[in-house]
Amino acid sequence: MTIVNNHSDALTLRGIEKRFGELVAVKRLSLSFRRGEVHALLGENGAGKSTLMNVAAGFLTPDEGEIEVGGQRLGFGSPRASLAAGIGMVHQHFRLVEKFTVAENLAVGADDVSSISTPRQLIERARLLAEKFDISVDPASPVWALSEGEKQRVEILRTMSRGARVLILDEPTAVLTPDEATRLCTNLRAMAAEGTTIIFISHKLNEVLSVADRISVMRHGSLLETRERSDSTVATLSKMMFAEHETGTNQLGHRQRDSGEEILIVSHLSADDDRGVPALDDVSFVVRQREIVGVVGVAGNGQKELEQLVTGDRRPQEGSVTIDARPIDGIRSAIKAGLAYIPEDRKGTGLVPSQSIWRNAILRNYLEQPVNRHGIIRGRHARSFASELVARVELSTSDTATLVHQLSGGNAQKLLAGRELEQRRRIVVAVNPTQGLDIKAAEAVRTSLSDACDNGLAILLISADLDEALGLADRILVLYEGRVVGEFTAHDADRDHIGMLMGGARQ
Amino acid sequence: MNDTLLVASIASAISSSTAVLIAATGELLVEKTGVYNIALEGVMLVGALAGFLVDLSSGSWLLGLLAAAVAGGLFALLYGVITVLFRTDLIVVGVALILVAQGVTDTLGTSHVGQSAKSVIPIWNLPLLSRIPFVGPALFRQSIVTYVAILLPVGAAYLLNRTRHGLNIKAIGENPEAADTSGISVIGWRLFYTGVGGAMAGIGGAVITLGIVKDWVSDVTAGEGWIAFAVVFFSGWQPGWVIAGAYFFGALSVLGDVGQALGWSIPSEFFTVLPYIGTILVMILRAWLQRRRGAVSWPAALGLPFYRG
Repeated sequence: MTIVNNHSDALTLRGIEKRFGELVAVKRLSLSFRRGEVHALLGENGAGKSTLMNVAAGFLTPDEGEIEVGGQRLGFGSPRASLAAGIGMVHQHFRLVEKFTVAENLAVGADDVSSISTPRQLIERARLLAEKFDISVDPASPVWALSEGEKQRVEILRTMSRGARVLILDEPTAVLTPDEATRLCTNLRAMAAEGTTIIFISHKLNEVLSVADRISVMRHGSLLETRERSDSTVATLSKMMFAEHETGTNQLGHRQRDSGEEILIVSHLSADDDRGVPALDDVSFVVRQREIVGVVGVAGNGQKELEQLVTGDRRPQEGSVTIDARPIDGIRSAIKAGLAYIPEDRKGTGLVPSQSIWRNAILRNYLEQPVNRHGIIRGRHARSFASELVARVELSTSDTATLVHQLSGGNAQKLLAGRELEQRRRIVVAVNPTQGLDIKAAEAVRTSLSDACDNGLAILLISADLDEALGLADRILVLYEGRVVGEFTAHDADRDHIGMLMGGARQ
Repeated sequence: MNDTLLVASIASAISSSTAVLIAATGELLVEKTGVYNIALEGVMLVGALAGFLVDLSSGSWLLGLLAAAVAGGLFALLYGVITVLFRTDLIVVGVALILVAQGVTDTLGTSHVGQSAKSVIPIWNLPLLSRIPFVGPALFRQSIVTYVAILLPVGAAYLLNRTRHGLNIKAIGENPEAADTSGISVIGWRLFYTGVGGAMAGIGGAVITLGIVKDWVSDVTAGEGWIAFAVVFFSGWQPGWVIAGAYFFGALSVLGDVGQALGWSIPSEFFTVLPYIGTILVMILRAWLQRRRGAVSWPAALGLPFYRG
């Protein structure tokens, strides 16, 4: 008998492929995790990190490939089977029963709880578990009363108490305060030292460099490279993470324009996020007519708050936003001032998926002539308006009665962009406008943005895709931890330098 | 009011609460897993007829109850498969199944209208207790099923609050993702309890035909399934309050007889609608109290379909 497996490997993924419709989220990926290591899985949003790990933990069934745990092949698509094999996952959104106590949450689905137990016995059991795994929790407290960090510890303790030898954490620091994050990293190192394999999904370079033994970088569903931490720096990792696409977006060619008057003025903007933690710190910039300004950064560095502030969906702690010198203090005032908005969540925030194309097409002008007369929407005019729009943006269907949820992502985005990018608007805020689109659809959306800009619109492009920003924008701002840490024009933009700034390197 | 009438009224209130009590306890268990069976009225009706027909042909009320449990369980399982497994709309499917149940039982029962049950659920005078003056005849000369029925919520409370299995059920109804992550079969247990709740509602229906009304008329449940459904909401999903709710509605339903016997000058129609009006009033009161306490007591995932991933 030959030993094929390296016995220090706790978990091996071989040729895993996972598709969602046409989208290939993970492409024939193979990766091994060693016993007792902290292994970071690094990549941009949408790189396929979470999908891959949901497959490993049994929450998703892959289309191809196999999983091996300690030399045994594992069946697919059952969290129970994966847990029994020693693979547990803590999701980004915690899966706890808010009304239950910590002790009750730890007991749910646990086979070692005796079939009849008093609350007191469950609390005692939880106390012993906390001691055994050296994770401090308050067993009698209801979960709703806990902080995010405490909830996370309950999740980790639950997973460990089920016998997990491989612990997967999906962006574990995203909801934590800096103190809690530091404490988590210390705990994870200690657990790894005891022999547990920790898989740490993240897109934060500094964090990964401080906690991981090895780092695997993923992009577009593929594994680029696995490196030892000692061979890695912010520079090498960011270069990989943000490396140029094979299908070069910069082939699009950047257009020369003469920008006009200042349309959007953001001055000294500071704001907190939903947790009350500062998210933006003294951000100032302007966007002029016939100018595309790209804001780049790793997700979670203040882009979301900036987007909400500019569209009037969030109030700043300090500073102000004006469009055409009109102050923005709410969504309505932003729209009145001439805001057009292409949100990231195109079929949720941007369009009404359960409604037809024509109803979605008139959402910006349903109060105006000729679509509306005397307060009544005239179906014939609305439909002919929609037909023109559909023809202009070259949708795959010409039937305006088609429901939007039946459209592909690309067609939905064309419809949304076509509706928003019209002459009377002053500024467009576009957020990851080509995310999840195929190459052709992405190209069409980029072209329509460029055309709209040539025709006099100001465009604020908030993108997680550096290549897209480089290809489209006249100026690029780099956002890191809520501050603008770099500004480049289209001519002096150096992608490696920008990548490093995005990763938190000092300028 | 004379004592005899009062005693008879209390006894009657208790016995007529039995069907609602059994059905509501079953529905409570279903709802704890996050599914509500809005077709409860239809399930009771199916159970009522199945129990009655088997009683007629076998001459055994016990076999009748058994048949009612099987028929109610299967009918509810049909609802469960359509809603839980295929994730369709609970209300639309529920209402459709009630109409199906009403049509089918009406058709199958036509030739038996007015016929009496062959074997009725016997009365059991509890030894000693039933001989206590006043209290005895009021409380302790009930049908066997009535005594069992009051134990059901107690058993449900024990199951939910003291057992590992109960904890798992509640987790499914509160946060199915959490239960799934812990390796509990969300869909499996939801189906199982939909069936169990259906069996109990079926028995509740047969208690009406074999113990309370004791014969067959079309639509014999007359809204008791809906009342059981309301009792669960009234209870705040606590088994103890299911008992209180069921007896409260039982009391309302015998108030008409009391009024008639005492010659109150209130039209009998008023007393007929009283349980239904009472349902509405009590629900409003309950909602108001709950808001004042600031506590949300329903299972957080009640009525929500479960998808993984």
